[in-house]
Amino acid sequence: MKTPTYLDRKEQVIILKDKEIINRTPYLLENNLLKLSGSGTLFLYVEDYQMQNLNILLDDASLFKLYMIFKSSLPTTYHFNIEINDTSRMDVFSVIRNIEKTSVQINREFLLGKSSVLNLSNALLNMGNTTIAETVLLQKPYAEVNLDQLNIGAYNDVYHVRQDIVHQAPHTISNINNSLISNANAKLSYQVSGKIDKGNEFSSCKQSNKGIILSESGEIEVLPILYIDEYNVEASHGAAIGQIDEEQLYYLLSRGLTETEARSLIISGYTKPFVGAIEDDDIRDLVERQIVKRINEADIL
Amino acid sequence: MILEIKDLYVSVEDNIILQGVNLTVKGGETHAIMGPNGTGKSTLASICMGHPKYKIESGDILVDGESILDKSVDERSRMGIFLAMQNPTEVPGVTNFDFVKAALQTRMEEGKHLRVGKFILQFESASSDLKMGKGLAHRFLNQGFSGGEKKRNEILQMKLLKPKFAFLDEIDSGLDVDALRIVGENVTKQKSADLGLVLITHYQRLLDYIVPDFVHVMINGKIVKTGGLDLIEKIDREGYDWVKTELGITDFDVRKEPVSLGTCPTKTLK
Repeated sequence: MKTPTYLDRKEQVIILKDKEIINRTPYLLENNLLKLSGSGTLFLYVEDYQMQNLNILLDDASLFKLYMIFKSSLPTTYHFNIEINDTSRMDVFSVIRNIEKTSVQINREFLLGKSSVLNLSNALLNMGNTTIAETVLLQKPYAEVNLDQLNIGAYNDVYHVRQDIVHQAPHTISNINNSLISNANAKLSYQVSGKIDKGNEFSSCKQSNKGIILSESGEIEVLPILYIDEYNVEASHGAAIGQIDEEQLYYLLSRGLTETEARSLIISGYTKPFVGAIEDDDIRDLVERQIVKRINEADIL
Repeated sequence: MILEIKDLYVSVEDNIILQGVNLTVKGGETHAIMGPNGTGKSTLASICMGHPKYKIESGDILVDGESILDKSVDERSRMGIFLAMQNPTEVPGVTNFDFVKAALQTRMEEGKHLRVGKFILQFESASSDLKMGKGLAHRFLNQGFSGGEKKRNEILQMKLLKPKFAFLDEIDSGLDVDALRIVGENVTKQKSADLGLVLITHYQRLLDYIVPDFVHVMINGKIVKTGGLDLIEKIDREGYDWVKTELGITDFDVRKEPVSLGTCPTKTLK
């Protein structure tokens, strides 16, 4: 089975490719259920895997980093249910990229227990049509989710992304930061919603959506929504979408950078905080290479 | 090394801002341009840098005899023109270090690369000279900077980029007494035969630290008077009214045509 060479350097890897599963971890993966406990770092590589639902369960008082790398050359739909039990923390970093222009649909549902934390970072850098549906259910008090997403659309890519956060318990926290870039003819469409049901007081639900359109025909559409049915909460949302700031461009030009260099630096400023937060060197390199490719090469087409 | 501004007329949105400016700056000279608000001092600096907002109606700007009017902003910078801006722009996510490194790299011949180790030492030294603190390199460009820090950061860039002609546009505004001294001393240290300086200011206090060779008074988009240090003292004491009286200048009358903003929506009660 051919897989990326950087995976050979990783200690704990699960590969789901076509109809095969390779599990190089001590964790049991049976009946589509992967049980994790204790602490560790796991790489889950998914390439054109034809499967049913995959369920991941993180045991109580556990701490895990999960890298989910999706690579597709065929139309595929993935379903994940990820349950994070009480007082556990899971840092999920997802890289979603296609090697062919194809359709990919990824549905993920996260269920968070008491005082659990989910840090979810997604890099969407794929070609073709992409549909993502993320649902986070903050089921127990003091559960917290932080979602950072970088989405760079290029060529004729079409993205439909839906992010739903549901506060089902008091003292729950959600933060969403979406950084979106549309290059060439890419169309990015987002529906981002936060919901606080009645009785879930002292909860905080915040979302920020920033978008840069680099071309004449690129499009970014964001629909930020808040459903709040409780008075004693904090909630905010916003969306700022536009082209590269002319004053920023002028400032950089006035120091001698060419227009291409200046634009590239401004965009890198947009992506760098996200990339800088990736701890694994191989994954960071992978993301950086894709960013450069999607920003620079797509312009030529 | 010579910068010549010849009979320059400049407009913005059909309003003429500069009305025949003439100025010659040679290497080693320091010129101060003073004048009341809205007389075109900052416009002069911006137009020399090539800001796209302004339109040159007539006249010329030459560096060493070559017109720069057809040069882009970045080309002018690489030719050696520098503008320390009145309101430096914030660029989130781009560190000071990466920015200045990119600005220096772009000035190098193709195939040559900046020696990063040497550059780090130069950056830290300039940062220390300007009392900017050790973390400056990793802070995002001007983001979250105080007014004084932004101005000092402009001077830091000037120190590292080593321009031939530098315009300092109200570099003293927003600076406290100590910061003004630090900026003044650092600019003065850079004075040499390889640098022509143009200071744009309202106040004498900056010129206590950076002593000019020539003082120009600009009113109504024109340099109307040129002198020495005695001119600064008189302006500080008496303002600009005596200049207007002496030269018979009346205040600019910008004729504005009335325009329709449309009509308000109306509601008829039945």
